[in-house]
Amino acid sequence: MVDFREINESLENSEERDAEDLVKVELITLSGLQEYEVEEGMTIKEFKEKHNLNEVKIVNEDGDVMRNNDIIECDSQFFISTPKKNG
Amino acid sequence: MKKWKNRWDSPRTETSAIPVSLKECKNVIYNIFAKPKYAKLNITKRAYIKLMCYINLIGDYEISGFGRIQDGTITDFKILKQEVKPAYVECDEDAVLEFIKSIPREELGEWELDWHSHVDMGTTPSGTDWDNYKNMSALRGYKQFPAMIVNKKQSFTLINYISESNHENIDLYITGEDITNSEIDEIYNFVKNDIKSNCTKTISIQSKPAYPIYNNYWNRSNTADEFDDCKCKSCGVPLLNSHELTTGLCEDCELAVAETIGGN
Repeated sequence: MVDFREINESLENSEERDAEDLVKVELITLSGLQEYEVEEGMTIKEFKEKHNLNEVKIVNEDGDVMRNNDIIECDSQFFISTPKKNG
Repeated sequence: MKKWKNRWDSPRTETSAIPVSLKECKNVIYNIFAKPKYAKLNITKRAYIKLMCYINLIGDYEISGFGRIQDGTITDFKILKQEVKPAYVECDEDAVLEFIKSIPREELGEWELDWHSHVDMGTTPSGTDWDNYKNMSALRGYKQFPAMIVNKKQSFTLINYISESNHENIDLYITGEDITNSEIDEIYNFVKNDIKSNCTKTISIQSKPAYPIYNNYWNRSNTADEFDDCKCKSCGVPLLNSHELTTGLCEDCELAVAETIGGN
């Protein structure tokens, strides 16, 4: 016989665990603030690929450029930038 | 005698790889039926005069910046730190970042107009301009934005940039408020100082007998050169360690180059 109580409990626990593993990333862009929820431990490279930001530079609040291998460990705020070239 | 092949002669190939990135594909699909945000825009006389001051006071060089739109009216223009040339202008990533930081967060969405000048030439966007719009679109989360090119003859092109293949013209109207000569003088002086503070142009280094290598060499300045030595040749980020300083590339760019070579 299926124990629905056990299934429900395991599902609730997994949701709680998933929620705990997510961190908030705020991107300040030319259009204003954009918010994302990403998995804790995601690298900057994975974040860029997931959100199609390969061409832009991600900079933290201190002005340091984030490298591909840098890890998003907690709620963070970043700026994004790219050169403006006209001809 | 060479025999023409028909289409059945070509070898059949099979592949399981999807040749597009899902994200790029989604962005294209979102924008296929997107309606233009603006059919027309107004511009205040103050803003129009400020724009004309920028493109005339810069002389025979292009100039570039962003414009503020409030309730369908262009009310202001700003320039960024930039290197100007007769047929090219560039604001680097740091300049764009500085601009983003300088604007209050709640106002950022209003600075959506992307503008630059074409000196005396026609105002049709160049290949460089289309590439720029594509990059700026990424910087705006793929939201559409208006883009404007003006010249000294007061000709202009104004479009809604929705995507690479989707852009519509916008009509422009000047508002009818009065403006005094002293207000015009104030704008003129502001723009003159703004250009002096933010625009740099290439200068010629005079030849010196002791250093013949510099003859006819065009450059910004020697100080800038020394500073550039500590930045990645490819993306411009500061280099962190002796290995990066030796190669002249940051770790990410070195890896990207290696992957490109390996892929070929």
